[in-house]
Amino acid sequence: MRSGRTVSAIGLLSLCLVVCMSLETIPPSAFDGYPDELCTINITIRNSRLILSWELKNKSGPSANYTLWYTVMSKDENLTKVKNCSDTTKSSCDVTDKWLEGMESYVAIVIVRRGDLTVCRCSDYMVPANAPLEPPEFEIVGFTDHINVTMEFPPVTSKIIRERMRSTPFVIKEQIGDSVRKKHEPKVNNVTGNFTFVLRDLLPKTNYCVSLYFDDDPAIKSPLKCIVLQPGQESGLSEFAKVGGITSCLIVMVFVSTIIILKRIGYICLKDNLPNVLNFRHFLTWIFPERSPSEAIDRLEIIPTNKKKRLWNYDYEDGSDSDEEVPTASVTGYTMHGLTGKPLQQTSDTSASPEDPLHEEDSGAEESDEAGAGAGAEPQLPTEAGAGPSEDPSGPYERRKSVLEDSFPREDNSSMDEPGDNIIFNVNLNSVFLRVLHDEDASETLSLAEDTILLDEGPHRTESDLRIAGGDRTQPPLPSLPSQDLWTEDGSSEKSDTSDSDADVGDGYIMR
Amino acid sequence: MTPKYLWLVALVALYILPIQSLNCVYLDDTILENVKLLGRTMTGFPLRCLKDITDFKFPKEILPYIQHMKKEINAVSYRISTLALTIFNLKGSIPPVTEEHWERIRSGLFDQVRQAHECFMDEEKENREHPHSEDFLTVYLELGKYFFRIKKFLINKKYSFCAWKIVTVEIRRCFIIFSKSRKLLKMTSGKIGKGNIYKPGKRHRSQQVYTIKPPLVDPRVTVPVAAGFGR
Repeated sequence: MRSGRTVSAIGLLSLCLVVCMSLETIPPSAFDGYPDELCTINITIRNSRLILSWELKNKSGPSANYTLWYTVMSKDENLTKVKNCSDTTKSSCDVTDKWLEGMESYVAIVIVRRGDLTVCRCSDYMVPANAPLEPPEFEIVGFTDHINVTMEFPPVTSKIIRERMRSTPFVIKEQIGDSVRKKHEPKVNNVTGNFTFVLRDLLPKTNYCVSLYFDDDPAIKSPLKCIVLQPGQESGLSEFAKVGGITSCLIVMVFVSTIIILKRIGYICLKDNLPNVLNFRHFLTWIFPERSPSEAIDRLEIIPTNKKKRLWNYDYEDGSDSDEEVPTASVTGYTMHGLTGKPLQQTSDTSASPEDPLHEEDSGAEESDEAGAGAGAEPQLPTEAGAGPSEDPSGPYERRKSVLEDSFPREDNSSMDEPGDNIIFNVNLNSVFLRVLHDEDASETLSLAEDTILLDEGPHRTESDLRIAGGDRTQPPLPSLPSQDLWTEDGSSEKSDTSDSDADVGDGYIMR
Repeated sequence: MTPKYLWLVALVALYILPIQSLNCVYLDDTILENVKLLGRTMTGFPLRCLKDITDFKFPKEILPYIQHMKKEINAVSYRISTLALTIFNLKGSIPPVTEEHWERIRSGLFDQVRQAHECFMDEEKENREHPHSEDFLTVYLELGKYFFRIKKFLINKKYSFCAWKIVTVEIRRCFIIFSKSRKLLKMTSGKIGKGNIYKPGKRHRSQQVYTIKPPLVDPRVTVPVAAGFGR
C-alpha cells in the first residue's frame, strides 16, 4: 500500500516537474535571494506589436543579459518565462503572443545577469489595455500644392491591439512652422499595409511639417517631418499646370478674336492716307522713273531726202559713188549719216526706184549708225512710207516704225527682219524732211533743210515740208516746227547746196 | 433682492445648468488623471508581494451592459467612484506610501466622486419618470460585491503593505476598464448624459421598480469598515 502511494506521489511530482519545465514556470521565491533594482518597465504598441521595454536606473557596468518573466495577478503566482526574451542583450521584448488578456494586470520581472551571476531583479505591473499606441513610420513627398503622406500598418493579430486601435482616433497634424494648420483624422481601423493620405490645398514655397499620433492619454507623437513645396516640383504635368495652360490658351484666343473684331469694324488698323511724298510704295519708280509707254505723242516722220543731195564739201563725183567715205568735220559742225532702208512691204513696187537712191546715199554716208544705234536716249523717229489716206489710221505707229526700218536699212542686214527692233540712228536733219504727225487732216510739215538754209538768212521762216522720199508723194504737208527745235547739232546753221535742189517739191516733196 | 440684481441672478441661473453639465465632460479626464496618479504613486511591484496576489473576480459580465447603458452610465460612474473612495478612506491602516502621496490620492478620488455625483443628479432628473432598469440593478449589485471582496482582502491581510499594493493595482485596473467602457459608449452613442434616450432593459418577473438613492459620502468622515457596504 505504502509503496503504491509512494509510487503515485513520485509520478505526480515527475509529471509536475515535466509540466513546469515545459512551461518554464517557477515560483517567485526562486528569486528571493536577489536584490531588487529600481527600473522602469514600459509597455507600448509599436507596429501593431505589444512591446515591453525596460530601463535600469543604474546603467553603469558592463553589458548584461536579461530574462523576462511574467505572471497574471488574478491567476497564479508562478512566473512564466518568455522564451524569445531569455538571456537577451536587448532591453525590449515582444509579448504580443504571450499577453492575450487586455483587461488583466500583468506583473513583469526582468532578471539581470552579468556573466554567470544574477545581479538583480526588476519588476512592475501593467495593464495591456492601457498601453499607449505609437504612431507608424511615415514618409512625405511634396508636390506643388499637395503632400503625400505614406505610412504602413502591419497586420494586427492581437485582440488587445485591435480594440485599442478601434477606440483610439488617429491624427495627422499639418502645421506651418510652429502653428498648427489642420488636423486630419483618417479612419485606419481596418487598414493593413501601405496607406497614403493626401494633404491638399497647400501653398507653394511654404514649409509644411507633418506629424502623426494616436489621440490617447498620453499621446506619443512622431517627430516632425518638414518639406518646402517648390513650384514645378512635381514630375509630369500636374493639374495646376494643365489648368494654367488651358487658361492661357483661352486668354490668347479671346485677345486675338477681340483684335480681329476691332479690325473688322474699323476701330483699329485704319487705312492711312499719307501724302504722296510719304507714300513709298512707288519709291523705286520715283527714283527710277519708268519710261512712259508710247502714247499719243508727237512723232516726227523722217523723210529721207533725195540721194542726189551732195556732201557739204560739194564733191559730187566722189560723194555719190564712194562707198566709204571718212566723215570729216564740216565747217558747220555736223556730219552726214547715210540712211539706208529696205523697201516697204506695202509700196514695195513703187518704192523700188526711190530705194536705189537711198542705197547710193548710204554708200556715201558716214557710218554713224552704230553710234546712232547706241544712243538709245535719242528719240525714235518714226518713218512713214507711203503714208497717205490709203493707209490704215489705226496703226500709224507700227507702220511708222516699219517704214523707218525699211527706209533706213542698217548696216547689219540681219536685224532687218525683226520688226520689233527699234532703229536708233543719228539723222542729219539737213538731209531729211520731218513731219509731225498730230492729225492726218491737219498736218504740218516742216523742212529742216529749208530751216537750215533759212538760219543763215534768218529764223523767220517757220514752215517747211519734210517728207521721206520713196514714199507716198501724195502725203499732206507736215505741221511746221520751229527750226530751233529740230536742229540738234551745234546749232550753227549753214547753207548747203542741197537746199537749192530741195526747193523743188515736185510731187509733194521739197527736193533739195 | 433688488430688481437690479435680478438680471444677474437670471444670468447665473441661465448658465448654471450648462456649467453643471460640464462635470460630465471632465469626469472622463478626472478618472484618467487618477489612473495616472495611482501609477506614479505606487510604482513598482515587489516580488515578495506576489505570494499575496489573489483574484478579486472583477465582474466582466457587466461590461456589455455598461457599453449599452447610455442613460445610466453616470449612475454607474458615481457608484464606482464612491466605492473606491470608501476603500481609501478606511482607517486603521498603514498607508503604503507617504502621507502626502496618500492625501493626494484621496483628494483626486474625492474630485472624481463630486463630478460623478453632479452627473448622476442631472441624469436622475431626466429619468424621474423612468425607473432604473434591471440591467442597472445587476451592475449596481455586482460592483458592490466586487468592492466588498477588495475590502475583505484588505482586512484579512491586515492592511499590509503588499495588501495595499495589490488593492491599489486592482482599483487602478477597475478604473481603466470602466474608462475604456465609457469611451466605447461615447464613440457609439456620441453623447453621454443629458439628452440620451432611455433604453428600457429587462424587467423583473414581479415588475418591481427599483429606486436607488445615492449615498452622500464625505471624505472627511471615516466610514467604518462594516458599515453598510455592498448593499
